[in-house]
Amino acid sequence: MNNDSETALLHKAHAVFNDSTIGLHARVLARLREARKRAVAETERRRSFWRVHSWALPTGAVAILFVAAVGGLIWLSPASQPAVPFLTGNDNADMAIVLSNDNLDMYADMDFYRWLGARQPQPAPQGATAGNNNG
Amino acid sequence: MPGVSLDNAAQLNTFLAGVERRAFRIAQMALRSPEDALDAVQETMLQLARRYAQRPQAEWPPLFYCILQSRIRDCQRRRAVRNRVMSFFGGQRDAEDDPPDPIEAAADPAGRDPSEQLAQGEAMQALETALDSLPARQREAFVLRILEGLDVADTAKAMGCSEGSVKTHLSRAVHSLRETLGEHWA
Repeated sequence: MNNDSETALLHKAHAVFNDSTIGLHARVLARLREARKRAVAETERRRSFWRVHSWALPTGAVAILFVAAVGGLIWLSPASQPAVPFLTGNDNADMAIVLSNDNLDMYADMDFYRWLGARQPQPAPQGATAGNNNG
Repeated sequence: MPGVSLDNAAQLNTFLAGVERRAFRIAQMALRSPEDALDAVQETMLQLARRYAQRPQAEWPPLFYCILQSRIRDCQRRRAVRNRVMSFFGGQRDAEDDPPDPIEAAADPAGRDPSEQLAQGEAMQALETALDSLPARQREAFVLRILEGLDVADTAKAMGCSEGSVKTHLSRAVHSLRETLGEHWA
């Protein structure tokens, strides 16, 4: 088969294919038209979205830059003021009590222990002490 | 998609109107089902509109057919999986069991002479059968380059290969079709 017959074959294939697209059923054509309308509507919908929300991109970018700048400033700036003391003098005393290993019940009976501490120790009898030492 | 204008939508409408029938026939030849072919074309149109409407109009044809070929392959893969699953459960459905397609059974809306319609139908049937016997890439190259009429560069873009590969696939496809269809067909 020479080039002429090959060209004829290709032309006929193209023509037969094109002819087959002419006689499409009305239902097929309606579906194709509907699909095309949906695609074009999708394009227009996206266009209107970007037109309405055209401010969103620059505004978002500015907001992100602002937040990043403020965060950077806070992160990099040295502490200019002394830290607020966490506990005052009285609080320190209370905290020392809480953190100590002493029994907290003792602090509930503080009056008793004050009385006990105020009592003078009584001298022990001489005989009893000597007796103990000798025994 | 800030670059899409109203003119762009109108241009897209014109482009799609120009290719929709041929795209449907290409999908129908590959899928053997008008409904699946319509779905493939519809998905292709939507994807082109969503993703590539802002591109220059000259890029639309290869993009459109690239998407269409992808949708066709997806559909064929889904079918293959479905058939495997159905055969596993012993319920494989034959094409002969399907109800007759009302679209294919309808009268010719172009009102052509029945003998002319018959000859046209037979020629198209022979071409489809011959195309079916080709490897996928050769069939793709022939359909896009000869039936759709894309140039070599656009065909290469649509197929995702080099222009040299397109020429090779096309040459082999034409050689095979010549042998399959014979002298009398042309």
